[in-house]
Amino acid sequence: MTGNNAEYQLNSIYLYLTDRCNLRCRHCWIEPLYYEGREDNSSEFDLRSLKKAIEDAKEIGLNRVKLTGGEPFLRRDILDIVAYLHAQNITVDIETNGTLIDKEIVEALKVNCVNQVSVSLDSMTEEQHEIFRGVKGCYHDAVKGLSLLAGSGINTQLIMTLYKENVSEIERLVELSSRMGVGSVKINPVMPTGRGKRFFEKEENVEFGDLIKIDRWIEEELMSKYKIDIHFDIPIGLKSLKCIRTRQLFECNLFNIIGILSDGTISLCGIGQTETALNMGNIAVDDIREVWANNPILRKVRTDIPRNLEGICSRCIFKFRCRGACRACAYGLTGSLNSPFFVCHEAYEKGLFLESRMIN
Amino acid sequence: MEEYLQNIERLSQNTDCVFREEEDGAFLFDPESGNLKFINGMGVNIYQLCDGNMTVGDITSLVSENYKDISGKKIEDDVKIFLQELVKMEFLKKEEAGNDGK
Ligand code: SF4
Ligand code: SF4
Repeated sequence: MTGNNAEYQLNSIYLYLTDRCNLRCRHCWIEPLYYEGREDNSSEFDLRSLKKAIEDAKEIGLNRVKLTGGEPFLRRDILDIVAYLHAQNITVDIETNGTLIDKEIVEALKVNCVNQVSVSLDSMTEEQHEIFRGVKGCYHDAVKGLSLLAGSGINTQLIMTLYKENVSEIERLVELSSRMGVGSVKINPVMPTGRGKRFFEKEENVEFGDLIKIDRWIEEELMSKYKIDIHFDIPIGLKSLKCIRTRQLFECNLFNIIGILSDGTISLCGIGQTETALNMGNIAVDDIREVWANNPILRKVRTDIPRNLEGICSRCIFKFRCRGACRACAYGLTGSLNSPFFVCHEAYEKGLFLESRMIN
Repeated sequence: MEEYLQNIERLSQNTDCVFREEEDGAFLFDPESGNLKFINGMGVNIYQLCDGNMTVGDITSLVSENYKDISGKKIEDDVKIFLQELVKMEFLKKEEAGNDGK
């Protein structure tokens, strides 16, 4: 098994441009440092190492980069990076909290044909969004950023993190997105990793049975009412049959993705920020092609997933397609990359996982 | 080049695969290869006819009888393509020649 095997082609990089953030989101799994200004940070990777890594990765299949963080627009040279990636014919997606977006940035993103910009917004209620995101004034800035992006014709996505208290905001945010011309809405139930743990400790997360009910309501009512694409991120095993048969669903792309953290660390997606045992080198000194082909963590993932998944994931008929949902989250929770994904595990424990989707 | 199914062939279900019924059809899943396919209600009926005794010709005629408004040739072709796909994915096995399945 080598890094050149088609199934294990490196198609995509999650590029963490900075570990700083100008918000203090209560759910963030990365737990970045709070930082307001756009100053340079010497611990962040330099452009030269990045270019070398991108050019090497292109040789083994790279065609897509997602810029994320921290807040990626806190990094001064983000627009140079975007322009460079565009010149390299790489599809660029960006995840941002939207608060630093202005007209000049939007123009530069358009010129460089950015594929999609996702903006986080959790509530239409200023106070609720700001309590969740931890900084006063961020609601208006985020809505302004979203509106500038959507108005410019850039493919824009609204990302909502879901917990008990903002369930009633789903429809309002979908309505806003549809009105603004946002391309799609992605709803991620809060995860019990990083700062998200506290939601689970205080039972502020949406209950597992309710997640399934919300999923069906979105699919049966909301999507047709607002004519907008809505992705509700729960694993395939809990989705409706219609959805499984017709839609692109939550799947872990671990076989085709690698993460580069803000200090140049090569990691399994973004998890290396908190789980340093999953770090695999650094772009300043290591050849990404070599890491991709031979790193023992990646080799183990390729042998173990999905065949050695545990618990409900080992019994699930979708395990080859779903690959146990987010393996990074599973690792963050249990210290094992093979452990069952907590959402399906809990659903199974509560008798909510359909018998028809299990073997044995 | 794929081998085309002959009318005299008999097919049986691969018992290493699982068949899981849902609202209006069923999933076929092979835990070894990971192959997964959803078949609709009509597909389920056809799959269940593959008992190692009936021939492909028997199955296509039975299905044609139930769909008199569609041309027999069209049904026959569609059923064969469907069965061929299930054989290719190893959800169905061809019975050895000479084995009459009884
Ligand atoms: S049980 Fe595991 S493999 Fe199956 S859908 Fe859930 S997370 Fe995915
Ligand atoms: S492990 Fe999680 S973050 Fe990484 S690719 Fe899979 S789903 Fe995405």
